[in-house]
Amino acid sequence: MRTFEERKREIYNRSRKRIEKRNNIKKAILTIVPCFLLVSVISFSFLFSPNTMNKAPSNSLNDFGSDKAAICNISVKEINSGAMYTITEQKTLESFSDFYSSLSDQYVGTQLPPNDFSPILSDTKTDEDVVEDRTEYTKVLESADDKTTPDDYIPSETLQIPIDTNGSIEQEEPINKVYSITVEYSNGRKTELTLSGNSLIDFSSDDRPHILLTPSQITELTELITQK
Amino acid sequence: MDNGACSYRRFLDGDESAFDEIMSELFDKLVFFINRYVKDVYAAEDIAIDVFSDLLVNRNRYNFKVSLKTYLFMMGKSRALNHIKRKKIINFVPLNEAEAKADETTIEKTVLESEKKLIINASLQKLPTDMQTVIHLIYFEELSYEEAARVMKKTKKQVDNLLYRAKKELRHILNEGGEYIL
Repeated sequence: MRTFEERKREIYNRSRKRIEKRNNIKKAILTIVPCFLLVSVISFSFLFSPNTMNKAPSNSLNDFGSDKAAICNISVKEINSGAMYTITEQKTLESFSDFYSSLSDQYVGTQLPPNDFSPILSDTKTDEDVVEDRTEYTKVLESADDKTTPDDYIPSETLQIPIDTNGSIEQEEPINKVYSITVEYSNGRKTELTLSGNSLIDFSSDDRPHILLTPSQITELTELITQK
Repeated sequence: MDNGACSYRRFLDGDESAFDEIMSELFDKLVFFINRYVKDVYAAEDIAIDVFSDLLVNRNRYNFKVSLKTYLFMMGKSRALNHIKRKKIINFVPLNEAEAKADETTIEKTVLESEKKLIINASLQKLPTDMQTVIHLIYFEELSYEEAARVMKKTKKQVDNLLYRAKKELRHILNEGGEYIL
């Protein structure tokens, strides 16, 4: 058996060891928990960030307006020849929101800056179609706060997007060409859409070439751009 | 007699010598009590050291609602039972039994001052553990029924019944002499 002093020494030794052990555990917890929380926050923010989250494209054009992220570029690549065209520069989604609001009426242009998007008449329309469209379109224009006459606006089944060409592009009529449209956002995300068809890019109407999009292609492009 | 509570209060106030007083008063009693469970005086001493070091580490855990002696005995019992559980898993190498027996006798004599108690203690070994414990706490440690009930985690009534049966058994073991002793 131990003496009183030995017992006392042993008690104090064990106490000191236990206190040290407890302090080490506390220290470890204080180190590990913040690290764990930090890693969790980073992981969650990564998982639920707009870049990585596989969110279904919104059909509501109003949803789109709330996003202020800038679109840096929309570029069009003619796959057949490899020619690149830049459509817009530094567009914000806010301005696109106006554009898509106007699309919701199936008409294009009254609220858009003239340099960005302007409607043209599709060659494939019959005269009767045009008259009918014009009647409907006039109703829209009556409520619009714009001095332009209705004749300046022609309802269109196609959307014309002006293209800033870089390099020399021959003014020729492309037939059955395939184009790849890339939308590049300011946060680095890129989305791509492939379109094909006759007269997709119209070089003839203007000295600036335009992309002509059908309503279904407009919907596709809308979905492409509003995808988050 | 506050069974160490007053000394512990002084110890908490910074008087380190108060801990020595608590040790002098309660350490051997605790070893003797634990030994009743573990039947190994060295293990009992080790467990008692552990209990006292716990008292030092977790200074504010004891809330003075029971006497310090009861509190230490409660911890001692719990640790003794843990030790027995562990002992079933780990095979301990027995120490020198003669030496252990001598030490056990020494501590027994330290705690049990009177001859009467020594005689009872000798007969107690033949009783079941619960009965040994209740007699130990009530007669040797002079705890109240409530305190003994707390240590044994039983009700006061259960302790009362158990003590009655333990005394009856003990009388039977001690024969005629038992009537006088108890």
